[in-house]
Amino acid sequence: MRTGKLEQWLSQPPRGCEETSAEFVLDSQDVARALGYARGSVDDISAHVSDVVATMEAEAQSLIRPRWLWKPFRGMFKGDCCIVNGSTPLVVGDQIMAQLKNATAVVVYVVTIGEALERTVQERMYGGDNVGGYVLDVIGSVAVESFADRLQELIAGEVSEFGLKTTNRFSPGYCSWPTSGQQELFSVLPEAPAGVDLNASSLMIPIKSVSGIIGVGANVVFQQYPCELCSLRGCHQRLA
Amino acid sequence: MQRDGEVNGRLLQRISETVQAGKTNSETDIPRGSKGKPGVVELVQEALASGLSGERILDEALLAGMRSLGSKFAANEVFIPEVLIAARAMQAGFVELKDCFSGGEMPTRGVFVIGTVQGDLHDIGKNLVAIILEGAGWEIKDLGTDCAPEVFLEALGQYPGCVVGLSALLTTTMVAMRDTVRMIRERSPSTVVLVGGAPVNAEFATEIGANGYAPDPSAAVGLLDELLP
Repeated sequence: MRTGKLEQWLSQPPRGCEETSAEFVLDSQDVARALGYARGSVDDISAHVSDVVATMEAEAQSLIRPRWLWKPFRGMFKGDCCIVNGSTPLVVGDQIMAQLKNATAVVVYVVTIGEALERTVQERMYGGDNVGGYVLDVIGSVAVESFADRLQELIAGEVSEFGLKTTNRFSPGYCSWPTSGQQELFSVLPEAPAGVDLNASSLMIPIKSVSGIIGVGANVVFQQYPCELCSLRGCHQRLA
Repeated sequence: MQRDGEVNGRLLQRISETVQAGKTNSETDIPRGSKGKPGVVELVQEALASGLSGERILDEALLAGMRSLGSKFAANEVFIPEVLIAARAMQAGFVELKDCFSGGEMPTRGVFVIGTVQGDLHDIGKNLVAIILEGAGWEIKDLGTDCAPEVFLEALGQYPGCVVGLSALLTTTMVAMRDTVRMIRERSPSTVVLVGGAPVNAEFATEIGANGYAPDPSAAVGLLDELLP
């Protein structure tokens, strides 16, 4: 019964979602942490910066246009490659493959908050409001990651009905998966998924977008501290 | 005379602290509750009226304030928003000093040409470095994002003796960074080149022939002080 449901789930077409920003709530602790306040506590922020953050969070509400598109594939694994859609190799590297090796399926996804926020960041930065521009940029990064987390939760909820679990999200550009891997990743989704395009250097446009894969299986593990998988020791976002 | 020196010293110190607090002028309420109290603008005007030279105010008050804040940033006592707010206050002080220098031109440490390398559109990190280096006395020439090596070479001709800063946020654009450094070296072997950005590290900087790697804007200030004392 469960196998049948899983097969049905795997055969579904790409699924999209588009939200209004009103449905989207930012976590101020996440914003504080992303601004560099190491304890992630809004109490560490001076009154003035706090005001700027509050103003920019309110402005972001009208600028964030969350969209996503995702599709599950049966997973095949060979060496440091995850093969999806029957024949498209995603050369994810050894670190990510160690997390995926027990997966039976792989979800390929693209998430974005659109380009309006990025445009406003540019206007503020080049218009002399460096503080507001910087804070808004950080809020955009938190928003798109948070939206990607929400997709992960949705997928984890769906596959739990088949008795399966999910790995962490893994993206090109991290854990020795080259950013150029975006080309293969995007090739298994419809053109411009969720309105996101790639430029010649595999950069996503809009910039505030996240793409990647999530492994699904009975024996996969979700790592609470995924930074331990990454060799980028100097990364300012590193949590462990 | 000695008393005058003490008074002036205290005033310079006060300006430095006011820069760090980010209080531009008396109209602003930064820090909160400070509206009506003198900011950098009023204090610099007071310092000039008391006979202090523009050079001293610049070095011992404005730049000293940013240096002190840079140390606090390195020690995780303040964060980028506070540094940006302080830089804005310092810029307001610069404006008050312009008449002290010939032609209204502020003395600078030199020209720092900065840009994000070809193929990369990320510019927040680059902008932060530019703002903070400007606060440390550098004249910034921002070439923008997605800059081909030729754009940097053109800047070398335009600003002889400049320092070059290259930013990349993507692993793929590190290749463009390597090519850019190589072409700068071929054109001008002695040009100081700094690199930065999330995927870059000190080993990579050495490998591609850059003079140094700065993990954050504050480190870029320190690195330049080391390389060009």
